[in-house]
Amino acid sequence: MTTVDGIPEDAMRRLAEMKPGQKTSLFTSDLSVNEFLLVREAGFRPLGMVLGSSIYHVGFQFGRWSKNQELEVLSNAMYHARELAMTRMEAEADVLGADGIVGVRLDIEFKEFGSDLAEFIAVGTAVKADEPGQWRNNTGKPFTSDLSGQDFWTLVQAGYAPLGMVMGTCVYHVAHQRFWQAMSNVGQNVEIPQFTEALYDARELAMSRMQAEAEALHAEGIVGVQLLSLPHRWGGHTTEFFAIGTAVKPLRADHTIAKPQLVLPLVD
Amino acid sequence: MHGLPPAAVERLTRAKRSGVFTSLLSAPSAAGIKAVGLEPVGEVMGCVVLSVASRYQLTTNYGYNPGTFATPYLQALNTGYNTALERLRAEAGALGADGVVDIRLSLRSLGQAEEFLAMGTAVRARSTTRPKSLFTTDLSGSDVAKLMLAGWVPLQVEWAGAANAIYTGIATQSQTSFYAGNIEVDSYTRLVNRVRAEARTRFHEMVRKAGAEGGIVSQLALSTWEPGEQVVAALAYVYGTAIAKFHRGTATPASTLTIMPLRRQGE
Repeated sequence: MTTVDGIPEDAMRRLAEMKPGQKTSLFTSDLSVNEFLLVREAGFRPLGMVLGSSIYHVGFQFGRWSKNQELEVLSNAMYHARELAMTRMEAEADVLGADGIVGVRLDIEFKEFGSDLAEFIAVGTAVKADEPGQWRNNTGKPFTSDLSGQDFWTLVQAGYAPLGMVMGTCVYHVAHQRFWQAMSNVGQNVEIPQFTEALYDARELAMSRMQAEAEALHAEGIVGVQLLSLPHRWGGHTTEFFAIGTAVKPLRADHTIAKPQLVLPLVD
Repeated sequence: MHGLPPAAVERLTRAKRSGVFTSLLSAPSAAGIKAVGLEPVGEVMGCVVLSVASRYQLTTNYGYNPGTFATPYLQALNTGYNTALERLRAEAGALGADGVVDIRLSLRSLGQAEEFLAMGTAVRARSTTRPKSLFTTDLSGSDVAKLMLAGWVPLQVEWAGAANAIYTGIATQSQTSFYAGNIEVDSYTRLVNRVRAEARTRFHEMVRKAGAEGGIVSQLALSTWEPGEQVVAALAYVYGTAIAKFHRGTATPASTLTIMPLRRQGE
């Protein structure tokens, strides 16, 4: 095993010269080491970990349970609470003078205080470009991206810049089957059209809402889209369909990247 | 020796005599640290069992500042983790190490008491200069190697916690009632934001005090509970490693090679 010359010596000298309490330009970051190094290499400096949170009471939905329908009260709650958390995170990044936020994670945690209460939280690392440029999006806010540091680096290498995270949500109730209909299906392999249609409708609503957000940002496209079915705590017939991705804009006309080397990794 | 239990002292003397090194590192981590000139010296451990005040036991009378309800529990965690880390450092120091990598902190309940445990691998640098004090990090050996190749060296692990509690009043009750509809619960939101902000500020201050240039957060945790009727408590902590720059110049000299691993999708 070859040692890169001078590294242990230089590193230990730095530790020997440590002056606690001296003023340094300091950052904190929520990134892994790989991500931290790649974000630096992509020409960005981490400024600090940023966070936004909201504890939200989700209202009660009155509805006709024999019908396929979107549960608008729940859809609105899930969207509004995430929006609150994201806006607070963006405000923190704005205070730091960031160009954007990378590695954003959006989580929902139901709390011990009650079944209708959930904490919505957005965490990421605010970054600033070494070269000044037009990084903020058309709303004047720092860009946001849920891409990992690795994906972010690749995206910038390929000549794209993230504009913002875009999302769409739809909480959908799939109708309960009528008794005789359920009886007639017993023991048979048949499609249940009302279930199929319901799932199509719900996913379509979530995705079209996400797309509308990307259009509002004048994005060229959306990358890293995840389409999640989150059952939360609403029982088998009510599911949240949540679409989330990063809207991107081109930085230059060509989008070729260097041909990667092929390797056979010696790890599990 | 350094206030360590007799069993630990005996283990250390045996380790020094035998010349065989032990390590908790995985194969990639072991190869990684060698590449940046660090040699494993031995596995080190720090452990303490504390009797911890119940989180549900209200130690203060009503009418006092509810903010102090969660303080005994926070203090217990703080003492526990820091004592475990101190003992780990003492062991590493006795082995003549320069630092400890891949530190794992854990908390285990023994019924009436809690065990705080820190385990890691002590390393020694192939250099003529010795650091002022031991460096410690929870990053794996491969991560340490990547950082050092890019001109950064880990300095020390930091655990920063904050806790607070509030009385919930009429406003909270009406915001959480069945008829409240979609609404943000102001008091809870303020509480969790306050404790998280406090934990992050403390972490930041600790990193600054250490004289580091950066902090890599590996864990940001929050727990909430109800210690009593209409009292809500929250505890947040940040755990990570302070890192210092040793390369000169402004940019980090990483030289990334774009590679495509030959394995199946998702592995």
